[in-house]
Amino acid sequence: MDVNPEARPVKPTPLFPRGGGGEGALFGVMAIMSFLACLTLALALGAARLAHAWERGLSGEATVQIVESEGVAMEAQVEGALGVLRATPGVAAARRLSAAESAELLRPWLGDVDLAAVPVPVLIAVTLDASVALDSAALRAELARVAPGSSFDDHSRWNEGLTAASATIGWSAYAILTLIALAAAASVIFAVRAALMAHRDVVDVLHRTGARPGFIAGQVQGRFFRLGGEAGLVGLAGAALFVVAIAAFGSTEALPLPALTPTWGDAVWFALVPAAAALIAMLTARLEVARFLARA
Amino acid sequence: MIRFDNVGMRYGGGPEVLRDVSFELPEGSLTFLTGPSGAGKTTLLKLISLAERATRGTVSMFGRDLGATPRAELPALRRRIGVVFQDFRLLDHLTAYENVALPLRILGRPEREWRGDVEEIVNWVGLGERMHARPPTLSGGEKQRIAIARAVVSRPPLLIADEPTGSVDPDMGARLMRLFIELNKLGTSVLIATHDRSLIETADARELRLFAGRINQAAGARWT
Repeated sequence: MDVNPEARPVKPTPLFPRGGGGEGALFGVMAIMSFLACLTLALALGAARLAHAWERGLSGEATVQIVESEGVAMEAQVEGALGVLRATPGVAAARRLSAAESAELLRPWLGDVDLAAVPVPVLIAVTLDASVALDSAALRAELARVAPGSSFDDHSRWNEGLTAASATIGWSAYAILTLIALAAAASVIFAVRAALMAHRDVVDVLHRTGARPGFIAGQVQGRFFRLGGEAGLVGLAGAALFVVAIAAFGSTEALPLPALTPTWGDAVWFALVPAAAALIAMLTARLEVARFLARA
Repeated sequence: MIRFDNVGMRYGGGPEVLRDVSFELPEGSLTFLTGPSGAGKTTLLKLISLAERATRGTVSMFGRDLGATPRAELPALRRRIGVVFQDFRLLDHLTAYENVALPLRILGRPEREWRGDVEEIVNWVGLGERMHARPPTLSGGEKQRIAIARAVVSRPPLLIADEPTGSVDPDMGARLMRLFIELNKLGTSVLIATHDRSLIETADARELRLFAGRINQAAGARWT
């Protein structure tokens, strides 16, 4: 059925006409920016999770190494150390590694040698209870008293290095997100300027009819808010498909994938990407219209 | 209502388009602005409609010195002025009804408050049948009538019209002139720039003559 071109429009026509600002191109750019923002956000969240996992994995364990010491028998040192460890709050378990286990640990460095001929230190594997704080200094002092040849290693030096590395990844990701946001805002500025130039006559009539700059900005910003939000959703959907495709078909064995794969808990953060795209587009449009009118 | 004292106006570094223009339009007056093409009529109307600022001299409107009025306060003053542009300036993407309603939408009032007023004025200018047509499908005369309806719909205290009957036949011209006279009787100050002597003769109104950027003293002083 033909629509009567002179029928009353169902809704009031927007005062600022569509088109003229290269909206199609802007939509594509904003969608790509949102896609990149989602992947960068995944990296930032993954880095934080990886740091947490490393920290927990390593700090959940500690090692006591005992070497020969004059005046105290090796077995007495080991028994004394085990006794101290088991009585220390924060230690969940302490287990002496067997000679075979020690040999297995040393094999990469020493090769297949007969360890009975060399004085191999005794290793005690300590499992820490993460819920109870461990007083490392007191434990070291107590161990030194019963086993002078002991040394306690809670892997804190390793931890510091890994935590610093993941913090660097995290900050870099946030810096990239900031750059993406700035680039998106710059694209919106170009599109808003193009739209204002294309519809200069409309802006002029609104202006001369007594519309305040805020009213004119309101007519323009709503469109860009919607465009930014929709492009953000497309970018988010693209990023989700990308992650699913990588998980299904990509070669990711060498990656610490469990930590880098987004979780449902990340969904809240990803949902912020289209919202941020919409807000960036709207606010940039508003500021640009205000600047345009101030020059007019 | 409007007072010009030794007003000069030039665009950029060009020559003065208006020179030493002084006059006063009292509140509730009906005035014709006449003069040959290029005399500066459109520039004078731009100053009065607050689209441009004078480069020298003093322009006062509604009791305010425009030179001392902050930019942020100009939109509120513009709303008190209805303007009929020579080239109509209708928005092609809006219907005739929506074009007429534009000043009311800008005021932020809900449509239910003004729908009746807009329909009435569109009917009055004889375009009730084409209420929801868009300007590209309207004739020149129809566009002009919609432009006039838009200028008067919010009942502004000052109405400025640049050649408002240029595109309509004499009958419609006379009818539109009656609308202006009617509005003037209701208290609106009206300033009409025109070449149309017959239009001027239909009304008992003052005439402000502009020649080469100056108020023609001989004729201009003669408030007929």
